[in-house]
Order: sequence, then C-alpha cells, then structure tokens
Amino acid sequence: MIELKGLSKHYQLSGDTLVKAVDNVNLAIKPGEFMMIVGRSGSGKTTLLSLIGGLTKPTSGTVNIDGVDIWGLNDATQSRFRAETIGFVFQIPSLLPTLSVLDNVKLPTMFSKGHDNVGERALSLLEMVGLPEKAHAYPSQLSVGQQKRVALARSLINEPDVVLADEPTSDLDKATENEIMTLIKKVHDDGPRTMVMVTHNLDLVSYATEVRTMANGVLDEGTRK
Amino acid sequence: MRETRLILRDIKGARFRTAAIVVSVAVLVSLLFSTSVFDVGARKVSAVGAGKFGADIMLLSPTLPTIFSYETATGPIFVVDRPEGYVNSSVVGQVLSLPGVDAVSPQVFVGNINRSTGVTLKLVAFDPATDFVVQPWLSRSIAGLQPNEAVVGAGAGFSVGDDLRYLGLALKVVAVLSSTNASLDQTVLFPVEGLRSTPGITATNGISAVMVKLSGDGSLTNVESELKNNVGNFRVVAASELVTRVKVDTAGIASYELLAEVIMAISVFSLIGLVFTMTTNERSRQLGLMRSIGATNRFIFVNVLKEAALTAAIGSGLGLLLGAAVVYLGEDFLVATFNTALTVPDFSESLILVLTSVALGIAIGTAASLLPAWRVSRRDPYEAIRKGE
Repeated sequence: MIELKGLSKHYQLSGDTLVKAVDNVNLAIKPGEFMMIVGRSGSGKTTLLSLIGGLTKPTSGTVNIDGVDIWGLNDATQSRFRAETIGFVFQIPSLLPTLSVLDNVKLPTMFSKGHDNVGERALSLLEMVGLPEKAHAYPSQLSVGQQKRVALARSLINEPDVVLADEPTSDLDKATENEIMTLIKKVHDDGPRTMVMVTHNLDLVSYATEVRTMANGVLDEGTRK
Repeated sequence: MRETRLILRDIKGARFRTAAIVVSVAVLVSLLFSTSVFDVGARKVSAVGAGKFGADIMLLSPTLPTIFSYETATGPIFVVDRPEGYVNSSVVGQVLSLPGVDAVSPQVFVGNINRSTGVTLKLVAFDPATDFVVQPWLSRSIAGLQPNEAVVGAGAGFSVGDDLRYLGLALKVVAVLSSTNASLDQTVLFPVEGLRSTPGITATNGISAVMVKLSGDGSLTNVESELKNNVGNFRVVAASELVTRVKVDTAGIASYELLAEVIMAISVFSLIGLVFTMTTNERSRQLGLMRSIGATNRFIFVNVLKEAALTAAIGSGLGLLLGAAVVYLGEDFLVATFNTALTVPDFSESLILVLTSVALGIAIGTAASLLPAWRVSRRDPYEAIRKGE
C-alpha cells in the first residue's frame, strides 16, 4: 500500500517566485494496482514519482510504503529500502555506459541483501524482455527501445514490490511503444506488483487499473477505470 | 558485482576523463620528482660550495697584553699559521655551546717542513671528526682518517702513497686536496690523535686555533660579544664580508627552488580539483541513477574518492617514469650549460623522493576530488539525474 498525505514540493526561485511542482497531493495506491498518472509536460508528474521513490525530499507531507514512512528513514536505511522495495524505469537513458547489459541488470544487487544466482536471474530477466543475445553488449550498441527493455529488466532484479516508471515509452515508435507496454503489463500482472507510471500519452491509459490526471502540481480526482 | 570492478570499468570506460586526470597528476609528479632530484643535487653542490668558503671565524690566543682583539681576514680561512700562543682545548666545547655557532673544529700548528724544491709546507694537526674546512676540498670522506695518515694540499708536491717524516712523526699521504689558491695548498694535515700519540713534538696539550662556523641565523657581532663575556679573551679573525655575502646568496638559491615547487603544487592541485569538478558534474546523472537503485551518499562519496585515488596512482606511476626521464636528459644539459657537476641523490634519498612524489601525487589527486565528491554525494538524486540531462 502506498499512501501520500499532504505531499508537496515547492521551489523558491530568485526573488519571491515560488514554484509549486507538487501541491498537497493525497493519494492511496493499493497493492497490485497499476496506477497511471497522466498530464502535460511540466505538470509535476515526474516530481511526484521522485517523491514517492525517495529521490527528492518533499517540502511537506509524507510518503508511506507498506507502513514505512520513507522520509523518516536515515540515508542508509532509505537507500536499502529503495534498493529492495522499489524498481525505477526512467524516461532518460539510464544504463551505465561503461558496463555491459548483463552487468547493468545485476548492478542493483550491489545495494541489496545477497541474492543467489544473480547471474542466472539477470539472464532470465533479459530473456523475459527479449534480449538474451545482448547480454554482453554495451548500451551504446543498443537501440533506445532495447535500452528501455534492459532498464525494465534491471528494475526487477531485486524483485521489488513497487515499480515506478517515468514516461517509459517516450521517444519510441508506436510498435516499440506497444512492446514496452506489453512488457510492463506483464511485469505488473506476473508479480503481482504495484505499478505507478506517469505519462503524457493518453493512448496508454488502457493498460492501467486506475488513472489520475495531474496539472500544475495538483492531482485531480481523475477517472477510476 | 564488486565495487572495485565498477571503479575499474568506469576508469577504463571514460578514457578522456581518465586521461585528463592521469596527465595532470603525471605532470605534477614528474615535475615534483625531477625538481626534487635536481634540488637535492643542487643543495649538495651548494653545501659543498659553501663549505669551500672556509670558516666564518678563527679564534687564536690573545695578543699581549691579553686583550680581546678583532681583525678581518684578507682571504678565506682554511688553516692556522704559526700562532703566538696556544688556547686551552676546553674552549672548543664552550664555543660550540654559544648561540649562533653551528660547528667548531680545532687545529694545531706543528711546524714547518722545508722541502728540497724550496717550498715551505705547514704541518697542521686537525680533527677529521669535526672538520668543515678541509673536507669540502676532497671527494673522499676523511672521517675515518687514521693517526698516521695525512692529506696534503695541491701544491705540497706529494702524491697519494708517499711517506713523509717530521721528527718522530711518520705519515703516509692518503689524499691530495683540490687546488684552493690559498695557503692550504702548501699544507700537510694529519689527525690530532697522531700528534698526541707522538711524544716530543709540541710542549703543550693546547690548540693553536679554533675554526668556527656560524649557523644560518648566527650573527658575527653577537658571537663575538658572547665570546668576550662568557669564554674569554681571544684574537678573533673574521672572514671578509664578501665571503660571507656569497655564502648567504648561495644558500638562498635553494629557497627559491622550494618556493617554485610549492607554487607548482598549488597550481596543479587547483587544476586537478577543476578536472574532478567537471567530471563529477559530467557524471551527475550516472551518480544520481546509482542513488536511485540503492547507493548511499557515503557509497557515492567513497566511490568517487577511490576512483580519484586509483587514477592518481596511475598518474603518479607515469609521472615517476617521466620525471626519471627528465632527470636523465636534464642532467647532461644542466652540467653542459652551467658547467657544474650535479650530485645524484643516493639510494635512500632516491627512495624517499620516489615515495614522497608518489604519495604527494595520490594525496593531491584524492584531496582535490574531496570537495567535488562531497558535493555530488549530497546532491538530491532527482536533481542529479535532471542536471545530467
């Protein structure tokens, strides 16, 4: 269960300008739900996702994941919690260019409790995303769509309960977009995992179990599917 | 995956970044090492050169009536002439304990040797253990000179291996001094122990003169005053101001070299700091992504430092090779250009220089990355990822 209470992120710019990137968001996401938050660029979707994932500190409010107030934890505990509980898929290219595809997928296990057969698990995840033959390739040798699939595999290596995806299909053609979304749906259904995805693409809402819209940092009531 | 492997991959993968740091550190270490080697050589040459100016003061027995007198030597003070009297040997310890005095060494004038060539030589006993006026004119050490061994001036007409006798004294020449163009060239010197163990040559256990070397901050006037008030009356012969001035200037050159090294180290420190600031900014997204998958602040901080230390170590190793090449090529050039012999550091000095240069290279490389590492590790992961966009 993910619970956001009075969650805000404000930025003080030069002078008296205050930007409310996220403003007083209250939201409850049930375990196993596929929550999609849609909105235009600059609406605060990515900031909200970062607040949920513990990547940026809120100005006010709380984020509870399975009863843990993640912003009440110290850095070491929060980092461990993040490694073991949350998987991220970013909009930007997020693979380390100096590591092979296989090493990129294995990387998060450095920061979690020991997993047996990490190599085998990483390979099976690459098979799941359809790239077993690219295990020893480097990110620069992959297409953008392939990099997104590897990032999805990496997000699952520690078997997280929650996956947060930030515009995972941006910059992709329609066919690749469908491939990635099919994979994300599979990841959600197979877990079952709690999936929170933000996107500006309204064509994707059909994949979600619940959809909310966001504008100017405020989360609307939205449409429950 | 292990952290070390991650660091090695990063070093190997980011070739331009690694090359920039390696080259910066290598330049620093090569300059530090080569200038230090030249500096040690120059200091040795400088020390030997300064020693060749002789003593700052020579103390003789007072003139009659027994008063404190003062005079300036016309040339460098190397060796005592026939004195008018003797000084008690206990004076040596008293003078050494005075403030501003660095070294003292006794000499005893024994007599003249008239050679068949018409040259008259001075026979002087000295203390090889405390001597600082004779040694600079020899390439070999005279610390272990035996009581029956002698060193002779360049114009004495003796060669190594020659025997010479004076009353009951039998001496073998073991070294010939370089030419001084002073009365030292016509002098035979042997250890004062040889004099004491040969009865009947002198009637006294006193000494003829005390050679005095002032410390760097020692003042002639102050030492003279201390002598007069606390030790006794002497005939003080002081080196000319010209000789003293040249000694000070020679020693001063080394301090300019040190200043140049410090300025260079600060410059390279700033350069490496700048390179690390640029590279950590460039890696901002990468490090933010690491945080997103579970890396702690501390992990990021230590990771950046370890990478810096390893890169700096590689740069230091390369710098050492470059520095050795500079020393090898530069030595011949300097010797030919300035017509001066450079003294190469011995093994222990070289080892210290190598270790110091490498340690400084690693320390400066690591220290220069401290601030960038701290800043990037404290950066909000979300901001770090966005900043890299």
